[in-house]
Amino acid sequence: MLNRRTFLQKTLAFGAAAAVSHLPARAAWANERDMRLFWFGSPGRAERTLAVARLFEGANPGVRILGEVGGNDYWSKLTTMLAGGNAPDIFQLEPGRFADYAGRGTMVPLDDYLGRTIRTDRLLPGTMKLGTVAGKVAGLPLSNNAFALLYDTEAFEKTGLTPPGRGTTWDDFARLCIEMTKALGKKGVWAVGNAARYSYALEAFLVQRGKRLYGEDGQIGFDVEDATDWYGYWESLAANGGCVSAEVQALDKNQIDSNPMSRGHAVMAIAFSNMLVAYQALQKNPVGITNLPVSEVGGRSGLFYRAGLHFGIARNAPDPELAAKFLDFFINDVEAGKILGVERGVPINLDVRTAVAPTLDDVQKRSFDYVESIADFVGDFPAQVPVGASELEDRVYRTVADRLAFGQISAAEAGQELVSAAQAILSR
Amino acid sequence: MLVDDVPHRRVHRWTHLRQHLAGYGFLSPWLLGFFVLTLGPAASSLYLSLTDYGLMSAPRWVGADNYMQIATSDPRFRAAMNVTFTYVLLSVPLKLVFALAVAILLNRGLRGLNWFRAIFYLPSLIGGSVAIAVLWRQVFAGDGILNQVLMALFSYEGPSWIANPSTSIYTLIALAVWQFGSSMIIFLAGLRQIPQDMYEAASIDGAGRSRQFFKITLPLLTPVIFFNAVILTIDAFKAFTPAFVISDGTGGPIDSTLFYTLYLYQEAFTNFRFGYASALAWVLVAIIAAFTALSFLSAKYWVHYDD
Repeated sequence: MLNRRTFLQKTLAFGAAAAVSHLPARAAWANERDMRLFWFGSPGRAERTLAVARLFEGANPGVRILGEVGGNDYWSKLTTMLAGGNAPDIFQLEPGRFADYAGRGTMVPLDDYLGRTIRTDRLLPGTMKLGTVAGKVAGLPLSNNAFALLYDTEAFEKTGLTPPGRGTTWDDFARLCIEMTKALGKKGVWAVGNAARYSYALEAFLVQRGKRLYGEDGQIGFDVEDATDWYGYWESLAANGGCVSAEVQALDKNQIDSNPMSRGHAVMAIAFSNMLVAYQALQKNPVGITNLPVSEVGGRSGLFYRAGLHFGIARNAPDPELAAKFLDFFINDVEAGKILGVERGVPINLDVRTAVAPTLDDVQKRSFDYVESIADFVGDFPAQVPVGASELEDRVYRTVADRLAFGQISAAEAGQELVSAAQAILSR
Repeated sequence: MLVDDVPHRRVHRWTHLRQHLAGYGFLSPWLLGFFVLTLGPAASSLYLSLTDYGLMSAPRWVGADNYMQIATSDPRFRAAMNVTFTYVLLSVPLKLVFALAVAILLNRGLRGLNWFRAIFYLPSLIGGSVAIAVLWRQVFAGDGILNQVLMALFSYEGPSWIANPSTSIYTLIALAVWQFGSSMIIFLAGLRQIPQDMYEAASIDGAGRSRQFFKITLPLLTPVIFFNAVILTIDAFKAFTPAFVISDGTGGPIDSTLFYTLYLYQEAFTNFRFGYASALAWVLVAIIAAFTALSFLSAKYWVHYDD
């Protein structure tokens, strides 16, 4: 019976339990072989990822994989969990922010697992450089992709213009964009978004002129003149109506669904090859894919194979061996590869790549073929992005380009501002 | 007598203790919450504000460095202060005036008063939600409802209010003013408490409506106005959700909606400077405390208490 004393005891016990229950990283009822997997991306990605998780569970009885999908808040959520000591066992990272997490020691180095738990013999040679920070492999690259220009094929057919190709220089591209906007003749629709704010577009531009976005020394690999040329190009393209207005570009959160093309304000987008799948999902007309414009015909393409995304194992993961086993399954298992397709990029395991090719639907095949077709066109892997690159992504590239687009500063001032802000952040 | 007094007192003390224990038992959910979730984190944040704390490494003591940097060399801090003060100084008075005006209107003994009250209160309930952020974008976008209305009525082609750095903050102020519901309810309650016979006496003496408002309603309502002003000011300084949802946490375009709390959040969770962010939090505490103290000091010059 409930009298005052037992009630009191129970209340206190319950209160105490409530107070301490958040302390351990995993709840008391969690299974010992449970693993949390955290990623961001489209609903399609979630479906594929969870299907692979189920397949892994089938092959490893007793293991349960708890998937968690993040949205716009992915990075702050991940940081919060890492700081709070309850990070997911495995989490997804993108190349631009990879070093910020790896460099802060949030992940278990994979060196001891590579070649043993995680088989590497059939991976694209040199791939591990993409996951290496300060001499250690911190994360596993899951796929390859490359910069790409996506375009609405219907817009080109209707206007009779020719989509860009290997022979298209940036100047040709500017003329094409201006013509395209005119030919479309619709208010609020331009040829392409204002790519001045996308660091990856700048990166391709820099590589073409023999520079780099980031050097091996963890600093920027370009100077004020390069940046000024870049901003000047987009400033004049915007002034001539080749790319979207400042107000349209300002609402792009640098995500697929907020890109001017996805919002119906443009018919081309500078993006990544694997994003074709997600872009197509938002477009009525078939989306084509081609390389970015070049500085000079026959020169460097500015393209390189980059890691689509990484998986890292959290430093506090209770069973890193099991997590490594899952990573191995994710990249090396043919069945898993067939489920994943090329949604995160082309498989990094060459056998899986061959096996997956015939199973792809039309959209994925376009993305796959593009990545294969540029094999003779790509350059070396770039240096790892430095610690601080996240902040540049979030605060600098976007803001400087927007200030230019809204006419607050000139291209020369923008170039100056980018270089000094980047230097300040990277040397901190 | 002395002999049996001792056990008696012991029993007495025991029941006392039990009663106290029971009291603390019932308080325990709140007490635990206060110590574990409020006081503890606040104390550690004060400590962290004096350190350089990345993420995985241990905090490193730097003394007042963070505060020095905030005061002397942080352009984004100044941008955030600018945005926040614009927001506070415009949204609070506008919201007060709006809430009071609607409360007076509703106090006229309207039919279906409860119905109207509920409708006007609705925005306050749903204001912070993502759906509202989406709605706001639809209204204030370049091809949004507002510009369509402006076009139809005045043939005026408006900017994209939400995407333009010189107008975006005003869309957030409008959003704040639109959520006037809870202040309005408090004003309504205050209006109800003003004795009717004062108005009767005043109208017999020949005072018109506006004179009645300025000589009776406003003075008698000052305690309520004061209360609302203090609460709204504190809330406005702490505002986070509107900017976060509408700009997706960027504070953009070009930091034009970089609320103080949003900047603080970015420093901690996207730039990995937890120590610096803690210092920013304490600076905000000091600012709010100063504002509140000023309000209370000024109160004796304009707030009229009946008794």
